Amino acid sequence: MLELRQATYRYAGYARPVVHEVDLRVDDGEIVGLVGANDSGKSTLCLVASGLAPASIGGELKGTLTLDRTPAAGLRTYQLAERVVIGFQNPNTQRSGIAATVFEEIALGPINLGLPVTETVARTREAIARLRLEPIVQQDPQRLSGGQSQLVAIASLLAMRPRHVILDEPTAQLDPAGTQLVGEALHALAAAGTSLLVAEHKTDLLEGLCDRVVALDAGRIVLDGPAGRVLGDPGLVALGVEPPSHVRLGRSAAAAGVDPARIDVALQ
Amino acid sequence: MTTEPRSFVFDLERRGLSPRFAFVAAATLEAVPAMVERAGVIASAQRARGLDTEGSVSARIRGVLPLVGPVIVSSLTEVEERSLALEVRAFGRPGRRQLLWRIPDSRGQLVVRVVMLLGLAAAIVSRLTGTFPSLP
Repeated sequence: MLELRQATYRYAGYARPVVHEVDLRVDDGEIVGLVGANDSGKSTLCLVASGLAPASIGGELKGTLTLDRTPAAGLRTYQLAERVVIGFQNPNTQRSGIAATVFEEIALGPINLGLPVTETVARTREAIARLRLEPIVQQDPQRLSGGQSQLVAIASLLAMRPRHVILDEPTAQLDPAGTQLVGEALHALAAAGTSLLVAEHKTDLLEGLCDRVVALDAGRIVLDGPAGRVLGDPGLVALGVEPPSHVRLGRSAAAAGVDPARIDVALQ
Repeated sequence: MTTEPRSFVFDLERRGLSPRFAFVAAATLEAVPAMVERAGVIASAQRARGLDTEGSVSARIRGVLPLVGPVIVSSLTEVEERSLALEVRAFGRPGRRQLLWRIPDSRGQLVVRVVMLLGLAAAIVSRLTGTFPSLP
């Protein structure tokens, strides 16, 4: 369980906070989606929930972050890494730069944890299988397509076998097949009891993936509830978030005088 | 080189070098081709907008100058995210790591190393004692 209480975060050198009084709890096995316009504070909230803001990047956090009843305040970054991982949007900055093959890249996290070689290899193989990366394990990580890099970056996080996973736009560079693969891998993680927080623009993905969705506006939570209800909320568009395609279709149909219920039936 | 730079660095770690230092050494070696590639991309982008990078030597030097800033700045802007991504993977955790690589160290190589070290010691001793055979 990952829990933020009254979290207000200000970057070092800035006068005003970016995230305001956020109360957010992600239970074991729960996938929570995070939506909001650009600049609404999604990425910052992800960093705060990962503990890296302020543990690594500084700044000031008021309120608390708790990971499985352990307060995150005061934990070193490598102690945080044993409890929570965060993935970023740009896979190129997430490469270690020291691995000759995709296998070594994914194995780096478990190696850093000081695990025995057999355990490192087992975790790496499991992460590779989850994202079907077998065909490229021997390739140079610097020579992958954007989508492949993103899958490798996510696999590198899964190999840590984290209890809590935070992903900031994990499918930005992925095609529909890759997006689906990531969705399946995240479902499997949740089924194994991992708590997940996923910031995404692709609301179609979130609708199929999340139990709950939280919408941010100017650093505050403005909507919080079951995925279907939040993603179908009439106020979502005003927040700069594009609703899932079937919601938009239903609204267009209603505007054109067609009964939306008949479209839902047709889609099913 | 007959020894891959990475193998060299990881063998040093196995022999007790700190993982942080090993990373810096390995990442530096790996950063060179990445930097060249980045410079190539920036040069193409500048050329597409009319930068002249051909002609006489002085013209080419003038053409390179506008690339230096963007190459360095773009490398630095990624530093924070890179360091966060490493920290997420428990980089900097104290204690020894068990590496996947075992660098083969044959008996022959060991013998050559010992002979070379003995030769070095002999050379130093003979130089200090003045028995080093001077060349005609």
